Amino acid sequence: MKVVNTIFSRLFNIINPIKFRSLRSKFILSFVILSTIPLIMLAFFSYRVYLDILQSNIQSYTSEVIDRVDRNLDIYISDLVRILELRNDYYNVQFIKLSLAGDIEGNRKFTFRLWENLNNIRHYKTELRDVTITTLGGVTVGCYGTTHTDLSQNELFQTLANRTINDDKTAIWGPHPDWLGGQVFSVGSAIHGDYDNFLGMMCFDVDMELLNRICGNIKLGKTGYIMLVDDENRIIYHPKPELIGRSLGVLLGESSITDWKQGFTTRIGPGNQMISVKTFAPANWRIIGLSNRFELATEMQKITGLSLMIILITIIVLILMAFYFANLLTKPLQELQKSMCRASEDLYTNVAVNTNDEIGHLGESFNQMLARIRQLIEQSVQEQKKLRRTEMKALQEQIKPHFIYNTLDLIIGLLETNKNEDVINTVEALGTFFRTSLSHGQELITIREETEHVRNYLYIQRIRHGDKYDYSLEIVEKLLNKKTIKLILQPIVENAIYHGVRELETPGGLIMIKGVLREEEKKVCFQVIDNGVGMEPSKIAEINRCLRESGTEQRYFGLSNVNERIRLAFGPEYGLELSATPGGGVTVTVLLPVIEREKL
Amino acid sequence: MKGRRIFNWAFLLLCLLGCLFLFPLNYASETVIAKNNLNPVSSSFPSRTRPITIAIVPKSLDNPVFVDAKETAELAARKLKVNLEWVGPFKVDPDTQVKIIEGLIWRKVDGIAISTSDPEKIRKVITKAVAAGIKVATIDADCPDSERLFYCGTDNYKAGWACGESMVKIITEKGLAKKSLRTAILTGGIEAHNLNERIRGFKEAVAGKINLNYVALLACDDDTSTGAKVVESYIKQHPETEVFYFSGGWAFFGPTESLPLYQEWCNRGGIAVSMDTFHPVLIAANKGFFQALVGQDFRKMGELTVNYLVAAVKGHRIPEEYIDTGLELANQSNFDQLLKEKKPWEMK
Repeated sequence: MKVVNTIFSRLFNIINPIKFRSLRSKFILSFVILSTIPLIMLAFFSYRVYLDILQSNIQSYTSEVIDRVDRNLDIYISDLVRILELRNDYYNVQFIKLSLAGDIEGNRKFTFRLWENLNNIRHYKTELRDVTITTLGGVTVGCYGTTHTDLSQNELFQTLANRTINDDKTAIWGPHPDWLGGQVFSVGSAIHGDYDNFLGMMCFDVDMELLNRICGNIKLGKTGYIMLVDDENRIIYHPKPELIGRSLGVLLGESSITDWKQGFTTRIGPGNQMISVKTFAPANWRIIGLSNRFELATEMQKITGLSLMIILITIIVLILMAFYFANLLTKPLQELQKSMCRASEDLYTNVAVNTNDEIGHLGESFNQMLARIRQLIEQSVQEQKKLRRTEMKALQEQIKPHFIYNTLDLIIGLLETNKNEDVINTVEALGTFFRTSLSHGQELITIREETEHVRNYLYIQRIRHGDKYDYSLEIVEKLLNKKTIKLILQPIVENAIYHGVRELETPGGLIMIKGVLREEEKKVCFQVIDNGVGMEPSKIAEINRCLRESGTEQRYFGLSNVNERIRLAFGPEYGLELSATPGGGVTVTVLLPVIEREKL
Repeated sequence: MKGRRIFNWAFLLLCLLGCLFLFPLNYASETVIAKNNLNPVSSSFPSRTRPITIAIVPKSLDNPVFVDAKETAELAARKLKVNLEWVGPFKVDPDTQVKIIEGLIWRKVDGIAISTSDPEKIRKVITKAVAAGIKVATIDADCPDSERLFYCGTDNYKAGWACGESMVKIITEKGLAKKSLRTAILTGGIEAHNLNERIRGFKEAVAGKINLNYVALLACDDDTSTGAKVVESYIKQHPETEVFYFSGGWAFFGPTESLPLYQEWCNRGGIAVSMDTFHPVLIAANKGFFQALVGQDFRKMGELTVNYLVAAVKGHRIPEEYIDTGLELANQSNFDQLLKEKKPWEMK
């Protein structure tokens, strides 16, 4: 198992990095392998099973054919045996007796009768060349007249003569030539006299053509055939007549013809021949079926070729199908991939969704994600733009030239009036004011610094405007170290001065700046309260609406700028809100989150 | 003692006489052997340990005319201590006869005597047998222009001539010599040389003496039942027939009761002459079936054929090529006498 894993691992390492990186390739490879392996296994096992079945069928067919030959021979011989029952006919026995007695004149009647009888019997069966009766004296009367037989050369006669009356079975001899020059085998039975004495025999000479008639048309495959051998392994029938009479050993090798069993046997002979043998008991002949196993192999080669062709075609079809299905499945993925690639460069593209499956849903989700990203980016861009614009405005606000000129004119006036201490304080306040405005570029500063910044601004403005208004700052101590975005109070105070208390006809204006911590809400709350000329409620409502709605910051720029900066920094729940001060004037409430110093 | 001495002298004297008698024959045989050396196959056999085998091949086995010949041939063979084989086709069949002769050649018998069915076919196989060193003769039916040693049988032309002479005598005595008589002839095989010779002899014997109009030549292949059927059928179809000539007696080898139409024809005055004087033919003649018969001597044929063939095998010279076994003339004057002398066949 380890070895197999190693082999697969190495194989995978070899091929994987080269060609099979894509999902499509993996899919095709998997599809082809998963389809082909069962196919090949099926073909292999089918081949084995078919081979076994074919061999079994051939063996069975050969056995059946041999049985049929055996049966046909047996039927033929049985018929002859039945006819041989006529051998003890009166005329036969009388002929033999008179012949042995040498009574030529007395025997002529029986001779003539036997010629006729034996000729009639000859026509009972096909392939009977002669029917004869042979006497102990060697005289043979048959279908062609009367002849003399050399009994010492007649094995059939010798066999029957040497048997006892109790062993009165039919004997078979041959093949051997008959006196007309043809090849026959002889079937005969003994004729006994009144005292069970052996008188002679009755015999049929059967043309060997019978064997050809029974076996000749039998084909075992293309080149297979049936042949017959006698008990001395001499071929007595073979489809090639030139082999008749030769030893079976010459044809099959001596080793192949030993140990024949009496029944049916099958073995593999030389030349990969399948030899099936059955003994024809009455004559002790062997019926041999020879089948060429190469033909089986040839047959199997055809089947193998056909199977391989089918497998090859199937694999090709599977590959094509795999390509088709892989394309069908991976094309949306590829398009999705391309869209994503395009989206990485251009977010304003969309994936074309053509399917309603998981990939289609993925595409839709991707499109939604792109839309959201685009929205967020747009929002971010807008916010950045706003922020920059606000910062620029704030900066502009911070460095309003006329504020600087006015302050410098104020300082000059103070110098001219020799109010040196006021000059010093003003310059100091202006310096601190600018220092806080710049804050080294930091956005967040401490509330302490913001408070000082507005205090300096109020100081400078009060110097400029005289005693027309006063101011006060009440900031809870624990707020001072909290943080806030910078420069949020100064524009509000500026509004309170220029649109509130400076418009009062009489002195007594007051600007109060309060800072508290709303602990339940975890918010910092500043209030810039003036008792100036105030505003119409409708105007307050309009300004509040402008502050709540974005995009209206062109009007009421100072308040809107502060409000936008707070909301950009902390969210829409924070910001400014205007309200009327009881008794006149406007109160601007600023809500900020609590930002601990150490968190920043 | 004296008697024994006389016996010894007598024995020696007989031996001497025997030698003197046999000397010329032996001398002559040596010359024949020298001739026969041209065909040495027979003498090339390993040894003469087996007895001489002579085979006689009749036209057919079912023709009983050969029974007498077979009997005498076997008796002669026994006397000469040779084997005699009697082989042939069961019914007349020239091709089978050729095959049988070829079988005999293959078995290397010493001598063959053939009753020729078809000279054209038998001639070739005779040549083959002679080439194999076998002594070949013909019996009963010759094979002219063949290489056979001799023919032993009836002079068939003479036999036909004798039949013709008998017919002339009968018709002249009836005063019908000038009348044109419708005549039918029954023969065995159309190709059989011996039968054709008989017919030729018959026709030449009657020519110019009586006026026979030959209207039919019937054949029965030497078969008894076929012969009877052919005759009956012809008489039925042509009752106007006036004369019948039978070149052989096949139609009458069976019971005469099987020929009622012919018997009726005879009773109406039909004139018939036939070959053969066998027992059944004589019985038929006694019933008025023929006015005259000419017989053959088959017994002599069998005996002489064996004797001469064995002599030939032994290298003796055959005195003549044509051995005529003679004729036996019969008419109403001697039918009874001959019938007493003839042996019934009793085949069935």
